[in-house]
Amino acid sequence: MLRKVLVANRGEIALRIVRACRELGIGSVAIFSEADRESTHVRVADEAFCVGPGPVPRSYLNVPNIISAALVSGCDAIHPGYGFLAENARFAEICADHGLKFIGPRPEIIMAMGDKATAKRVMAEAGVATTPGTDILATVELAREAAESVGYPVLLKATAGGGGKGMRVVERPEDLERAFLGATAEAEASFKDGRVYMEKLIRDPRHIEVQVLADEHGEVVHLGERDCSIQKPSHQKLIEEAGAPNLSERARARLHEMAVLACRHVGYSNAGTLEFLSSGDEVFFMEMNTRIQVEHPVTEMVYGIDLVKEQIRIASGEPLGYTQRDLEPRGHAIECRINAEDARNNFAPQAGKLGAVIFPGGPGIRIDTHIFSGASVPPYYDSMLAKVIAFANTREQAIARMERALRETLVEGVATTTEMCLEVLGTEGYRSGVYDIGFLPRLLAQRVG
Amino acid sequence: MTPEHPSEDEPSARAQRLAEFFVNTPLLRMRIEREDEEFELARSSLAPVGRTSEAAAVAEPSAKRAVDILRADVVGILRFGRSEPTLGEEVAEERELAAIEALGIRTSVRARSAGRLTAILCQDGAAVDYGRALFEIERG
Repeated sequence: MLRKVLVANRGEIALRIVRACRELGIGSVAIFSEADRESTHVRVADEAFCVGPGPVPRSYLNVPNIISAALVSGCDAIHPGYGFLAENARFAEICADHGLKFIGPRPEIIMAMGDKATAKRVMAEAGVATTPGTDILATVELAREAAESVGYPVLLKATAGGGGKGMRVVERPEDLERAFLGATAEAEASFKDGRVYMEKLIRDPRHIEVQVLADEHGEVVHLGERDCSIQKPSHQKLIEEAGAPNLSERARARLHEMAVLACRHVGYSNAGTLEFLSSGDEVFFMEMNTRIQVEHPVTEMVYGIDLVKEQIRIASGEPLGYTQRDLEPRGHAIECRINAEDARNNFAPQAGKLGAVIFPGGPGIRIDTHIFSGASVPPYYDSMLAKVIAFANTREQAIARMERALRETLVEGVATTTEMCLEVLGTEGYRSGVYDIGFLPRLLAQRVG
Repeated sequence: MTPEHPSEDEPSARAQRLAEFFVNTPLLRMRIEREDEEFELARSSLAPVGRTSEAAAVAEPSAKRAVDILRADVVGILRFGRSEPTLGEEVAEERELAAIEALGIRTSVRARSAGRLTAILCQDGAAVDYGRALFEIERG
């Protein structure tokens, strides 16, 4: 087993990892920025090192200081959490160069999955369904041929893209030329790379992802799926649940099967998540996250497995010690993200000093948070303050439990997403379990309208 | 709340914390005795009391003496040089008081101006983190 782990993160996930270390009887070293000096993960870890000032590039992305902190404190591993350096293949390599075990998959896997085009190709090779589409399209003529073959409606996307720039939906052949030229010009202006490719447009998809665990001896299991379709207009997740409601057994089985197949194909190890778009019974691979996810607790609740401890055990070289047959989900779990955001003002992030903070409790409620009454919310970081997780035997009971938990929640001093989550939970659409990634944007549009 | 520091239970870490506390007091000498250990901290003269940051020290024109607090700007192991700094020593500008070793790279800790070394807040061989106060120099 590893002896001492440096936690290269902050906030609730840093605390989550420190807790896992403590329960496993191994040492933990926190890092913090000057803005996080009073943070809970700093107080709870066995040791703590300040690695820089508040802004992220100078602290939580300060690789030399982070590696040096691990070495001078005698760590033998680094857990990256999520965000920051978690999917940075070069960082994983640097850890290895200094004799530190990176708690995650091998650097070459991180790199392959980090590039969308490569990930899609590798998954297709493994037999995983990917969105029908093309490589780079050099001319309008090639785009026209491709669209006929893929079938309208199609989506033109910038290969260097992000944030919707260089992206166009094309419904009809007569709109293609204009869309192609527009996407190319916008991509060139935004990324200095005008290359675009095409994908089939999946209408009103759901975002469904599958949790996997793989040891370093070739054993791979899945831990079911999560539905993460309640997303803000920026595509950031707000509410997640395990399992996915209203998913046919056929689609569910296919998702699980593809996830395990993909991991075996690439020789994956540690925890990971394959994200899919789903429409009806069809599922298409979108991307793989080679790290622990924010929403991992809903899976932990229904499978009774501590994923962070499993990550550490796997990185220690231990075999999983169980197979797929040993895993059976039980009950239903929902997570709501309590973010310091003004949901009435386009989810604008909030910073400042918190007043009173009171979190709910009682049966079936789990709170993963780093905040407390009077804590500061620095302006430099992600706005997530807490995750409220409700677990019950049925989805209906889990919703009722979550509603009463959110009503008990008090976070004074900043606007939060608590009310927004309650509003979503109260809708007929959410309660029926029939919703897609357009659900929350439509709800917000109606409210404005 | 006081920040957590590495090896909280080590005597050297406790000495460091006491030293950081000490420089903010109006005391010239402080002695603490506990069950099986004792700490004695002393300085040759009194620096302005209050915020210990360099900016604060520079920004107080009414203060009789200007004080520099030299802090670690990298994480690593602190090493005193061959000419170990001594309390009360007159230091020249750019005098290397120590170096921080990190990832095989040595980063010098130098006096920003000439003056007198009025506090040594660190120990040779200690692990230091970003922003850790190392030396106090009363500018001459």
